[in-house]
Amino acid sequence: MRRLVDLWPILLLLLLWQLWVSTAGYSSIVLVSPGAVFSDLLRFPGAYLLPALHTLAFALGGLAVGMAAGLILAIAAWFSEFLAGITTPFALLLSSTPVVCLIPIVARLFGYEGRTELIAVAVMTFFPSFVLCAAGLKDLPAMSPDVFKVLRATRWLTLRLLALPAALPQLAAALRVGATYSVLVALVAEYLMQTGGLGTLFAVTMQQFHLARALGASLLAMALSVILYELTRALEQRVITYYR
Amino acid sequence: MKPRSFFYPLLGCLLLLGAWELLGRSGALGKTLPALSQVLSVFLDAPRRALLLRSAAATLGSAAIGYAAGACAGAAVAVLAHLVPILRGGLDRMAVLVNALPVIALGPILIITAGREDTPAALASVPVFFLLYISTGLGLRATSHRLDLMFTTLGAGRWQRLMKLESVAALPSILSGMKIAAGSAMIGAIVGEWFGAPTGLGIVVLNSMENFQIPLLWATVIVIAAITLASYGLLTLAERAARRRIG
Repeated sequence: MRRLVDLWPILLLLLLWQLWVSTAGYSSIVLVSPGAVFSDLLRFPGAYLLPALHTLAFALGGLAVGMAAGLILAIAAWFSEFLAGITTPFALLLSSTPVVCLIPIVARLFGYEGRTELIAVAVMTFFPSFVLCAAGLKDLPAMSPDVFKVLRATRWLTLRLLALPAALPQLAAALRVGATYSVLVALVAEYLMQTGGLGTLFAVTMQQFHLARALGASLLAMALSVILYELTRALEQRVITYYR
Repeated sequence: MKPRSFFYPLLGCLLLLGAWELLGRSGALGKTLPALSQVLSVFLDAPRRALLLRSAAATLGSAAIGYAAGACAGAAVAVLAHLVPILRGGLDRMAVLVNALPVIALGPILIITAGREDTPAALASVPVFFLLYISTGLGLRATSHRLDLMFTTLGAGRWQRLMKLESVAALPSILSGMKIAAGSAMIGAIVGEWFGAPTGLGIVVLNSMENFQIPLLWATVIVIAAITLASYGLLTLAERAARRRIG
């Protein structure tokens, strides 16, 4: 109940939108009401289903590849100080540049195809994954590295029994950051390259002035992103409470 | 700082730039990866430099307008929620939701409400608004409880406590939010331009992508990265200064 009451800003926005439409009296080429958008969503679910699945599949597929690659490189950097050092500028540069703007370059490098979308998502979720995993592997409980050293644990054993478990909260955080990122990058790639999915759906329907469908696709994309975010956030919370 | 911890990152930079130059010259990845020198020569070409400068001014303008509007509104709403706690639950929830929204999905909505020309600024302001709302709220609540009690004992009213104590204590957190928001504002402005703005760096990126002007495409992305890094760096310095003074 409390959570439902907390949704008032969204309802307020929808109400303002509806009021604006009914007072302004524009034609449906210029402006549609939230009611029209929702009825399009409900009446033609088939038009949205495949694009939504397309976006979801590419976002999750790319996320899996990007997360795995980030973790592997973070482990490699954990083993080698040299590698950790030379990868620092890459990590710094790419975590503070707007990587979304790199998508056109990725598109040109790999062609306007589905695989480019997958590569774009993987590349852009790789960076948060690498940065957070690398930080997590170094953030060990106080004195614990000394215990492992005194007991003459090998580097490999230390990784498996100490660093990796200690990094789990950061891994979960990386997943949460990456999950919302993956939907954003998938949508931008679809919008720019028109390879299918919700991004293409709203690019195409905007050009046809089919606003109800364009806004429906955009709302669906938002819902997808929010659901992924909430799921990964819940996972992160569980990991954190488990660690306390 | 250990000399090694400085040396390796430098080596990493040089390796990256060297590998880029060599890969570009060898043409292993076709025409889409031009050599670094080729990309930099774009900046020496007067007409293209003028184009980039003009577009950068347009993008920076809309990003700055969106940034300023979003930041002021976000901070103001956070203060309101701080003074009227009943609003907080809903606004917090909304902030989390908007934080998870892909900016590009807001494009179609903003084109209708704000128009094509103002979409970049509007799209820049949305993430900034919520980042500033969150960081200001966190900062206001981070005020030391003992100081708060002292102010109250000495007869400070709600308004005086807000202006003289809480807003000062919130400054480091606000600046940290502004630091993160700078990048979001640039992304918002550029994605907003993709929805049909007349000029801007986002338009140059799109056009050079579609017309195979690859060195120009890379040069534009470098300009975007430089702007973002510079603003990020400046705000990091401001945040550090504030943390030193206020802590």
